[in-house]
Amino acid sequence: MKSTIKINNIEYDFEMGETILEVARRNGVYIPTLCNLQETKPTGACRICIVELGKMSAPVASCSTPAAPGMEVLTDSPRIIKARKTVIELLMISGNHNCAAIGNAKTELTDFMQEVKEYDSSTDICTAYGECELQSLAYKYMVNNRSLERIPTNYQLENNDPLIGRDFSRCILCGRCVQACTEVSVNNAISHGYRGNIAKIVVRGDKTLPDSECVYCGECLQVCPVGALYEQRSKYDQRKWQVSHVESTCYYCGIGCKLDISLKDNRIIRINGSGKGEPNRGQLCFKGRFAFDFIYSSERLKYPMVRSGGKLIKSTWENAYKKIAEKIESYSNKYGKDSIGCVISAKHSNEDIYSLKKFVENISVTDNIAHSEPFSRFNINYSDIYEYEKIVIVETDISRENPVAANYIKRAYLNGSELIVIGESEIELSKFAGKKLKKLSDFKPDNNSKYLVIHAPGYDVSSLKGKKHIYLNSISRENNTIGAYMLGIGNEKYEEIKKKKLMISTSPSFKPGKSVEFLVAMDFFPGEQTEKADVILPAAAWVEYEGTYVNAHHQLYKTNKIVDPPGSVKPLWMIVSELSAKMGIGSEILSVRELWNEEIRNKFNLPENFLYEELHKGMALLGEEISNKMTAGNGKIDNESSKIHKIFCSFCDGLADVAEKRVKTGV
Amino acid sequence: MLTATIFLMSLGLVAAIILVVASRVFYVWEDPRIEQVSEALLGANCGGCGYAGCAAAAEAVVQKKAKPDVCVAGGFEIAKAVAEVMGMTVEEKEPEFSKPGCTYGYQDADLKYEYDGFSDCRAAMMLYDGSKICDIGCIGLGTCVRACPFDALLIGDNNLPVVDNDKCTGCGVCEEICPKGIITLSSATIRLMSDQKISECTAPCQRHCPAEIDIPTYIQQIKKKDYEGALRTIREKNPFPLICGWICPSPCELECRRNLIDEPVSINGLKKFVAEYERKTGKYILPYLPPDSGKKISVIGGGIEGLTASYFLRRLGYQVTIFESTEILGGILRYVISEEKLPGKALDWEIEGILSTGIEHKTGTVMGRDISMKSIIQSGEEMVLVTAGGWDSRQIMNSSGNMDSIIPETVLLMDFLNKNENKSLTVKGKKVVIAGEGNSSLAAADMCIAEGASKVCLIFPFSREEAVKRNLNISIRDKLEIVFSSVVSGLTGIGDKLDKVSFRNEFGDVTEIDLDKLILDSGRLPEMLFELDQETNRWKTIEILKVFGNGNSGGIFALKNIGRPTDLERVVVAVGIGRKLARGLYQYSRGEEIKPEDRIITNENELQNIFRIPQREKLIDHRGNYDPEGIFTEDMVKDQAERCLSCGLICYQHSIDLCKLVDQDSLI
Repeated sequence: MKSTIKINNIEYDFEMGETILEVARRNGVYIPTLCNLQETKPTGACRICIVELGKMSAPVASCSTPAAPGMEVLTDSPRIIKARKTVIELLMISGNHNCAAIGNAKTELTDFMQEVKEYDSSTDICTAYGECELQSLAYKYMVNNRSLERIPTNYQLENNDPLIGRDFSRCILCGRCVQACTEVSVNNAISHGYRGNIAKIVVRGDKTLPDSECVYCGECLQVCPVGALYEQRSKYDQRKWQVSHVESTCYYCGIGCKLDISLKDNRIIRINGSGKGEPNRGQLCFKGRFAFDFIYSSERLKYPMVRSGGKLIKSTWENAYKKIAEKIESYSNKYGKDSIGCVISAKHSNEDIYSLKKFVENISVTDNIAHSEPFSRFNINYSDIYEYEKIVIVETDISRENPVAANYIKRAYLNGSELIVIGESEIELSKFAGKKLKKLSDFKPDNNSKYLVIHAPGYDVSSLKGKKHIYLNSISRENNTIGAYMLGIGNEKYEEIKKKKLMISTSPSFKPGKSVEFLVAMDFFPGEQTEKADVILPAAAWVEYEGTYVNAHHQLYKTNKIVDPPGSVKPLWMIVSELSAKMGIGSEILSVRELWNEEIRNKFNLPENFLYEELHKGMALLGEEISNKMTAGNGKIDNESSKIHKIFCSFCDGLADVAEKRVKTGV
Repeated sequence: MLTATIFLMSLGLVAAIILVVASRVFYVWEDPRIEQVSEALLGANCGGCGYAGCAAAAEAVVQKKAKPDVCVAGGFEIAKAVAEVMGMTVEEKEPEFSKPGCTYGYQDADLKYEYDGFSDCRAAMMLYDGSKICDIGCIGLGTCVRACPFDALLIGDNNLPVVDNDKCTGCGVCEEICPKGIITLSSATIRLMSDQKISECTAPCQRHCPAEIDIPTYIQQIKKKDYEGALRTIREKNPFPLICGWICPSPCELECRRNLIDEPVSINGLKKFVAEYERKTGKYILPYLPPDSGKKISVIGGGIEGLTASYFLRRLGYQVTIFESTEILGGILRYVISEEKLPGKALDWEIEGILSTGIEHKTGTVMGRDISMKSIIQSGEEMVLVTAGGWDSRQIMNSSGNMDSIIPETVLLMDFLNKNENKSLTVKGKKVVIAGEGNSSLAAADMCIAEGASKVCLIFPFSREEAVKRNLNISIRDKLEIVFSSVVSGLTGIGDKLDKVSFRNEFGDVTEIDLDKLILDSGRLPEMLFELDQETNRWKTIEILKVFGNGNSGGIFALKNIGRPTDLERVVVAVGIGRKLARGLYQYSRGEEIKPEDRIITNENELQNIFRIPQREKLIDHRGNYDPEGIFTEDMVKDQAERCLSCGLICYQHSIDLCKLVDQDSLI
């Protein structure tokens, strides 16, 4: 049912159930908010979003008041502005908000600053300075905290966690973090504790974070509007004016979450989830948010190493190439080309994978390259998970493998979907499961409900195939598994290839068997594999070179080079191209762009004008038909028949434009 | 008959002889230049110069009681002619014109009664101060028109005097004769120097602008598509229309009289539009620049306050050099405001524009490290203005510790308490003065004594009783002297050494004491003006009083609010203060007393105002989607400008049909 509401004397349509804030936002009317968090239920805690419904009534919080027909709302009347100012002032005096270099009613500035210094054990200004939403509201509404007396803090700074610091003096109890924890990532680690003026955000039993059930997804960190939750590693270091932001895509799992990377002096200091759309809607998991500083580790391999006299010795690329070329020649002469094999990590970019495959085709037998990842596909939008009445998890600990997808599933559970967990072991999602089954054969779907089955990639679910109300999906564990399949590399021959005499491995998980005589290994860190290697190639991390990837959703995306690799580290495609040039099997390739435009684009059967430059940083969904055809059978590309019928683009304007044009013109 | 003839002839002869003798005996030499000067002058006998007439003025000039440019009406040409006679030179002055101060004639304004008497303002004034309800409304009977010796005034269609700027000579006769005192002489410089007065017709928006921009005027100019003119109007009070357009929280809009009808005019949006319009044309509209007065001044600190003060000082003819410690001008705005809220290019554009007026600047120059009081004195500067920013800005720019020596031996309490190993802050064997307020200043005093300071003097701005009330531990300590109810009123030094500080008690008595180190309990170094003496190498502070439109005064040397420097929470406040610093300095250098003007609007004045606007149609803001950060299109600008009621003190644009039906209840 449609009705109308008047906001600032202009009529707007609304649908029953919408709140005043939602109607206002939809129509571009600005109402300031602080505790409001998208995709969660409004709490009305901060009272910043108050509006007037007429002279007679008290102001109401627009975020939690449903719009009603004939309502006359004023968002910026003098009375409301006065009330908002009071609200902001009350928030400003409750704690150590030392952003304004002024004292307040009873405390002199220096006294106040000294108190804050004692609390923070630092003379630095609040870590959220410049990013704080309360500060910017105080500026906007011209509030200074001079007329009221400051309320001291009850709780000490919690500094014992290596990742997340909690500053209770700056907490305004807006509850955003609690909402993020209970409604977004549904980990239920924190909640409101105590009452009145001793209220506090607590973990269970009011312990400290390291002793709690926190899984460190860091969602709370990202949503905190003030400086109450901060990342320890970048405290006082992530000042807005020193940091530049770059968009990129996470490389840990097949979801391919959008990242907002903060750079300071060309060094990554913080990663947040980016964007409001698919796949991650701003969320991130522990890995994506915190596990980036391995790229700055001092233990990292920075130079190629060659074994000579039983010892690995730091070497040059020239030497490494020479050694590899020599060995390849001697092995193929001695044992035949089939004695050479290659296992590749499905984390490499399409360009890496493609160039290595071409190289292997030249020096070995066509099929002697494989990775260990089974094929998978995720057909629906992540946010559509809510629509399924029953969600079945088959033999996969999704909150470990793809934590952000687990968030969606847990939210679907909160929305009323039933969760069925099938598997031997207890997983995190078992806590939410309505039914726990040991084996897939125990699972008896009825015909009335819509089932979403998320199974481990490669798990045999053929018994469920062909049923209309059962939707089978799986999410790849590695970020470019699908890209590898599309380029013709599968996992069927993995076990066989593993036993070749001369092995080239770029997969850190590869454990060389006894049959391997000569091993060329690519890795980030010295480990089991590199100990046995004869030539070590240092690996470049995903932020250290540009490339394209395909995520579990069969979306194509491009990442950019963000930081310089350490030492003489080079991306794989460059190594391969230099090596092949050295061996006289193909010319040197100069750039990723060239690789994409001249070869890989055709492998993906993308139209002529789908140039590298147009990929930007967005994602293009490779149409269902094309990826079906391309990966028909067991992930083999059917080169002949595939044509793009539909390119669905999201996130990226530039790409979306191109794609839209194509869809319209039917190219 | 013959006898009579002879008698008369001889009488005549005797008289002639007497006259000849008298003229010889009583001969007075008259300077021929008086005649020449008299001729050179206009001969209108307007009296604008303050002398009885042109001849009297000429005599004053010749006797050197007046300068050659005495004739205010004559302008530069006449002054030059006079100077030629006198063998002197004159500088060109900015022309001044008469400016009527009322915008609504009696047919549009609210009246107490219909006046039907003798047609002279002075007569009408006798009857309840004229017929208009507004105390400062023009009576419109043309007394000034009749008084004008140059026929430059006439009563226009709206029953208000209109000035013909071609004829107006700025003699000031109208100003003197107006019984309401609302027609005044005006020039860009006068407008720049003056604050809003209670005798001026001001709109509510204008009164709440910390920079005191003439908002109604510029909106009217925008309405007439005179965007350049609008920008000039803004720049009379605010050199940063673009920056304010982007980030000003616009207190003016809160007070907009349209709030009484529907919603405020988007004043800041209009400002942003004209400023962006200028940026698009790529040509910075330069203000009128007077010839160099030859006075040199250094400004320490290239933030908004320093830049504003520099702009206005340059505008008043000074040679200004800005010293900035970081590599780039712009201060805190460079650091804390995100690119989306304020693009760096907008900041660059506006700062470049200000510098293009001829302001020198040196970035990466730290006072106390690269330059010092001594080196500034040696380079021939006459004054130094310190606008060094606050403790927070230093923290933000990661330059903590750079400021301890901006003024020799003067340090903020915060820096002193957290000094760690900083050797330049040791007080061993030194005489220390602490301008304190809270417990921390007592802690600092104890610290000084423990470190071995020879004497510590703590100055509190409040009384002993108040200190007890505040729970301050003021027990007697060795080597510590506490002075109550006093405030630091001046610093003097020689070369790079601070040697004396003076403080003033509640009765106005000033005491001067020797010291080696001054510690100030405040968040920022107060704005200070130093006068330099090249011969003796000495420098001393000059008190600058800053009085804001809202009646607060600030600065460590201010009379009220003692001891507390101003907070510059918003860029527009910094702009307002920057201008007042320039004004104070200008007054000082002309030998005038630094003081606020008479009758300025403060919080204490109750001005006439209206609180209800009856029967006025609503004109909803048709901006479409509300985007506080967007730039208006010309259509939106037109809509907005038309929404402006072009308010005066109590007048505003009535609906045309309703203008006579205004009910008196709405007026309080």
